[in-house]
Amino acid sequence: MNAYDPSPRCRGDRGSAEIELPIAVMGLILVLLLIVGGLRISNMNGDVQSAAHAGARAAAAERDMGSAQVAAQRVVSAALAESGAGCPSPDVFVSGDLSGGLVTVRVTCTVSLADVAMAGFPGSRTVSVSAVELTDQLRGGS
Amino acid sequence: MNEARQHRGRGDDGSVMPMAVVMITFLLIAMVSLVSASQAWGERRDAQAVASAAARAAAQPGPDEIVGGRVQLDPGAASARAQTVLGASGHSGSVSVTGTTVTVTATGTVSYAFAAPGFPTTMTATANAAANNDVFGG
Repeated sequence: MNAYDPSPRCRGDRGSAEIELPIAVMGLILVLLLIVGGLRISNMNGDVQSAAHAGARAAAAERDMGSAQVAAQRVVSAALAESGAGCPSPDVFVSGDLSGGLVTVRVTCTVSLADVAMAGFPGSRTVSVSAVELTDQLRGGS
Repeated sequence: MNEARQHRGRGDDGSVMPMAVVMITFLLIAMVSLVSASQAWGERRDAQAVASAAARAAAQPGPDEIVGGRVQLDPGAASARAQTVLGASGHSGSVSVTGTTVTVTATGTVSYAFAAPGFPTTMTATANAAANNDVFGG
């Protein structure tokens, strides 16, 4: 009897790990991609929200809607670039009343999820948030 | 000897899959926790930004709140300005005016993306901000 001869049963088990391991690894990779995708969407919301607040502050400091739009676009783009949110061309829309009323800045951003699409995410996701700021009560607008 | 070998062989049966199932389950729970924590953190950030905007709005004096070149905030008007910002931002909260200092507490609610059975489905974030404006430049 050779102690190192594998029994027929042991030989019969050979190969199961070779099948199970790739399935298990694939499952782990999918879950990790889910984590990455979920966190990316969640962080993106926060970054866009923060940029919208900054844009609203900038817009509320202007005297006319044209200048407010330019200021909000510049500040939102800079804020998103600084945060590394992966939104190179955000859509910024300014509305409201610059003569003592509320100014609303809506920022719409599309984030790519192509690299985590294997986990079931769509190729991209659009995030749209808004922020408001009250303009100066005394200064007035044009 | 062979029996012992066979026993060890059976002991290895299915060792990969159960371990993988445990790990995947753990990672799924970790994912839900991370995303929920991230949502909660984002809502806190938003509530803080809204509270700050409301406090700034409240601290801006209206024409009737400048007396002798000095700011004299009307608590009712200041509170109304803050509530306007809170309401427009989809938040609720309270406003306190003491002299020329305004303190705003903003409260916002977020629904968790992954609602785990037996756990809360929403999270409420509260943030405070203060603003002071006792100088009016002429």
